[in-house]
Amino acid sequence: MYEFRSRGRTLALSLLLLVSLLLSTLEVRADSWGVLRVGLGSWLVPLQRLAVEVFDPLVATVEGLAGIASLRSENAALRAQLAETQAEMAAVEDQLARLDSLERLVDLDLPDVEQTRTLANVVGRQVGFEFHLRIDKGLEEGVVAGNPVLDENGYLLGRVGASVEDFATVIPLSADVEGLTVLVAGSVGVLRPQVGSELLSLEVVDSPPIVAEGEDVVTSQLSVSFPPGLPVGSLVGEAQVVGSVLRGTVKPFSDPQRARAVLVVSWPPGPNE
Amino acid sequence: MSNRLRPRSYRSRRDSARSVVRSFRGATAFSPFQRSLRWGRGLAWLAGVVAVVVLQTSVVGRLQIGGVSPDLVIMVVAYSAFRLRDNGVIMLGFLAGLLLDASGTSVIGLLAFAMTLVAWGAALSREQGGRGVMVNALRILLLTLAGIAVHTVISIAFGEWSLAIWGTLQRIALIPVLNFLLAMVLFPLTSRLWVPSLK
Repeated sequence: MYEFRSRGRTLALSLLLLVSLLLSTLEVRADSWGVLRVGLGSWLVPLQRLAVEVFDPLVATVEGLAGIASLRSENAALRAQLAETQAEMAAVEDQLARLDSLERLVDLDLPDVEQTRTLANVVGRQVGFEFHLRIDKGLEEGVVAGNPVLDENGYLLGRVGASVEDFATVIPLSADVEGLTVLVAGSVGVLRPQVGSELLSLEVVDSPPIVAEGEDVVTSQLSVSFPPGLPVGSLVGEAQVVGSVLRGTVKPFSDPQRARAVLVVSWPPGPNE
Repeated sequence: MSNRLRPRSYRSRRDSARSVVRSFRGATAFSPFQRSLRWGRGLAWLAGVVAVVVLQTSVVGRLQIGGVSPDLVIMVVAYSAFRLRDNGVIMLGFLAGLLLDASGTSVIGLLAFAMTLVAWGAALSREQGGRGVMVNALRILLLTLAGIAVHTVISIAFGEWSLAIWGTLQRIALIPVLNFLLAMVLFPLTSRLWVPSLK
């Protein structure tokens, strides 16, 4: 009995599978074979409309609940995307500012002397006891310790402190323990950094000049480390004459915190330069 | 499997279900009334399948989780195996597939083919359906997976190249899981349908 039923089941299965394949084949092969679809589908449509009418409020409620969740997740995704875009924009703005700096450095006219120039990007800043900048050019590019470094406006920024093959460090004027020989109002003086300040101390020993606030300070011809005539800064406040010494305060033109690109000048020049 | 190895709850449910069936069946051959009762039960299941197909194509399709909806038609065909005999289940699966084909735009007969095979699988795995929540849910999961896989293969064979491969993979992965979860939730209700050793 069971065998008979099993055989009947197999027969029914085979028959229905065959009918299914036959229907599919006729639909694919015969273009006009759409009677079955039209016949079955036509009386399903009213039922479907009825179901939609009946269940639409329920579905709308569920969709609304799901919509709240999806809106929240979409909002979070949009916020993340906005933050990412803002970060990209900031990076692009930084790149544009760097490009602008580099273009200005290329066009920079240095006074009097022809030097070998090396453009470099500021790739890091070391903040601590010894503040310095890190640039992406080193010995391979001809950057050696002691080379003067200018910012994008041609103002003296500092000097190269140490240089290795592919990077170097730049010591800004305000952090350099070595004094800088400068010229102010025709007299030679020395600039030294002040501890904990961006300002520099000026001392003019030989024949103190009459100076006013805002007087420009440039590098002197007597300087061994820097080319002459490089703008350094300007006097702030009133200079005081103590005995035969003029003492004042100089604010550097350059700002090492904002430097994105610098120009390293080969100095002193070699015999062929 | 020996009766002694079956859990007590399984045996008690089997005995109660057998008593229900015996009350309908009687001890001897089918009378005309019993035959009409069987046909009536089959027609009731058919009406249920039509209702589910209508719901599936109009309402359930809008309630999507992860871009897909549970396949209620496969579940109903699987549960029909608890109360219908083999040929009835297979016929019900074929008709359900045919209705789904007619309500869609794909080649007619493809879902009928797949659903017929699902119904056959449901009839074969009828006994496993009453063995507990997890076994029944796994049965539903496998039947759904098989149905989708067969439909995908037969659709490709008949040139339905509009099937996007990633969408298909997503459906294959998610619909059986949804049906699995639904089967677990509905088990207290659907286990009442189960009649053991119904051939």
